[in-house]
Parts: sequence; C-alpha cells; structure tokens
Amino acid sequence: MARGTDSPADPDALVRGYVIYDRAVDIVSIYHWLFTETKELPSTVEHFERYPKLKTSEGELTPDFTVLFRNGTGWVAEIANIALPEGSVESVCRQLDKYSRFTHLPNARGGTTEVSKLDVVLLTPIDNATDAVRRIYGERIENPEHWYSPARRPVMIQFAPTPDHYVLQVWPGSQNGVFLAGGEPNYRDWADLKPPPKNFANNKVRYAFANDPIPPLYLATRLWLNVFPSRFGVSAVTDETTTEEVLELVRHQYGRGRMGEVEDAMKMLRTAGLVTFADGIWKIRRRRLSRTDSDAHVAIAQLASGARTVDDRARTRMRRELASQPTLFDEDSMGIDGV
Amino acid sequence: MFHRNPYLHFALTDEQDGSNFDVLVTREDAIDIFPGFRSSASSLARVSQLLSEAFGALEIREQPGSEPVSLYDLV
Repeated sequence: MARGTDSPADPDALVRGYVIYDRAVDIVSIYHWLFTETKELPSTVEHFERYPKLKTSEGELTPDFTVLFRNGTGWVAEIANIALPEGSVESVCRQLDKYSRFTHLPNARGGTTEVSKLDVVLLTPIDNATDAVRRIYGERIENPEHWYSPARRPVMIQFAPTPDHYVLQVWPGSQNGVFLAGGEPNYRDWADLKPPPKNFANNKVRYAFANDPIPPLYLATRLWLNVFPSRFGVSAVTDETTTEEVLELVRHQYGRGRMGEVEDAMKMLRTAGLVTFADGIWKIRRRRLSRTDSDAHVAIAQLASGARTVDDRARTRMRRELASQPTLFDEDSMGIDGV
Repeated sequence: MFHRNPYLHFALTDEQDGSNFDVLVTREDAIDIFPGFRSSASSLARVSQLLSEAFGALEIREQPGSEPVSLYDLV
C-alpha cells in the first residue's frame, strides 16, 4: 500500500519496510537503555529524548534521538539505511548537515538547552557500512568539489543483529569522526558493545516506536494485536471506533502517534478486509489473522496486497496433492489399463 | 507475533476477560510477560500458570528491580 492510499502493494515491500522500522525501534531502545539504565552512563546524562522535534529556520527536524549531557554537550543521532540511488546519500548528508548546526537540544522540561559541543552520530546497518563510508566520507566529505563539508565529521556506528545480541561498533577506520561530547565515563570508552535483548526489551515494549513516521503496516499490526484488544477486550462480532479515538489510544499507550499515521494504518486494515468505514465510524471485524503461526505483519501484508494467505496456499497445495493421488477408481491404480 | 530472532515477541489476549499482554523470550531460561493497558491480576495469574505448565517452569515471580548492567559486561 502506498503511503496515504488504500490501494494494494507488494507484500514483500511492505514487510521489508516493517523490518527496517522495527530494527530502528530496537536500536533506539538500546541507546535509550544504555544512556538511562546502565551503571556507567546515566550519571553523565541530563536528558535522553526519544522523540525529538527541533524547530529551525529550515522547518521542524526530527532526528532519531538526542542526548543532552550534564556538561552541556550533546549527541544528535540518525539511523540511516542508505540505498543505491545517489539521491538517498544526498538526502542523508543534507540531514546530517542540518543536525550539525543545532545549537540547542531537548531537555527534560519540554524545552531546549544550549550545547557547547555536538556530536552528530550516524548509525548504519553493518551490511551498508562500507558503502556508507565510501559514499559519505570518501566521495563527499573528502571531495573539495562537493557541497557537504561539515566542520566536524559525523561519527559512524555500525550495527547488526545476531542470534543472541546486537552488535554496536564504532567504525574503526581513520575516516570516521571522533566523539567530543559526553562526560566521564564516556561512550567512546566502549567502541564495541553487544547488548542482549533482555536488557532493552522492557524499553521497547513500553515505547514501541521510533521517531520516523510509523509505516502503515507497523502501526496496523500494533493496532490489531495490542491497541484494539486493550480497548475492546473480549472479541465481539464487530467493534466500533473513530480515527480520533484510535489516535488517542495510541498516544495514551505509547506516548507517540500522529493523525496521518493512524489514518494510513486504518486504511491498510480496510484494504486487508479487517475493518470497514462508513459515516466516520470504523467497524472492526475481530478475527484470527491466520490459522498458522505466521507473523501478524506478514498476514496483514498479504491480506492488504490481495495476495493469498499462507493458509490459502496450504489448502490449495493439499487439494492439488489429493487430486493427483491415484484412487481406487482410477484405471491406472487398479491395473486395468488396456484391459 | 511481532518479532523473531534475536528474540521472540508476541501479543497475547486472554479471551476470558480481554486482558492483553506482551510476551517476550529474550534468553533461554525465562519468559517475560508484560501486562498491557487492559489486563487483570487474575488473567496474569492464569497466563503465567499456563505458560509455566507448558514449559515446566521452576518458578513464577515478579521481576525484581535489578542491578544496573555495566557496559564492561557488554564488551
């Protein structure tokens, strides 16, 4: 489903978007935990902002998170999945360039505080890291002809999930920037970290989202599995709600949510045949998404794209297999061919 | 189901009273149950009991406030 529409789209693309966003939620949750709940770093932190919005002359900017340290310095961090097209790299560089000009960061009182030093931190998946270094540092920062020429280089951290933990590694190459912000002890003292999920799971359940716009499939899945059951309890045949109420529920449960995001998620559920809409009222047809243990987001993506579900395919395969099996009434199987 | 490796995360709704939970398996010897906005104590007890019976749990307990983890333990 394209954003803002309710026409079908490629289910694989929807699921890819879900996975990328979910990974970003994990990464923000990890840093949220590192800076606020570990033994060493919280004493140096004034405020960790998970959903920063910073007003600038160029409009409102929304990095993935910011950290205001007690010594008046700060981090502004962006998670970037750099794609093949050059426009994707240019877009990331423009963002990083704007962030590097921040003079204030969010504080715990809902305002902002001036910072004396600012580290721009670029977090990138490990499989894109080498490419990101070549294209951002090599082809742009070190190219005197290119417009992107920050006073200080961003610090790049690569990350990857493993079966047991996440890996966070400050890019070891000499092209990388260096950390100047933060107190003592300082994040730079731990270039490689391997946080296991048990450490940040609580944080992820509580907040659930990252600062980037929530993909419709991601929010639709949350609505279906958490928000609607919490609102309506035991399944009735049909529950009714409004977009405004759903937005309020999402904000109440997770502290974040925008009208456009809720509208897009509800449209996706409508395309999937799970809700209907008339006269400003959403009717929710609560039912199991699948009779298998398939992931909820995969099932919704398949329904929304018009693709057949896993169950449908299994049933078709079974019918085909049954049809191809010889029966007592087939001439072949009875050995009477040609008799 | 929300998430698989490196951890398992799924939502669970108790059809008896509509209680909703997030359930996470982040290590091999524990299942964490996070009560949602609509969840009763009796449902939490029921869900905990069912999961503990299914997996042969040694104990069911409220997660105690744990000592902060050192970054040196994550290296």
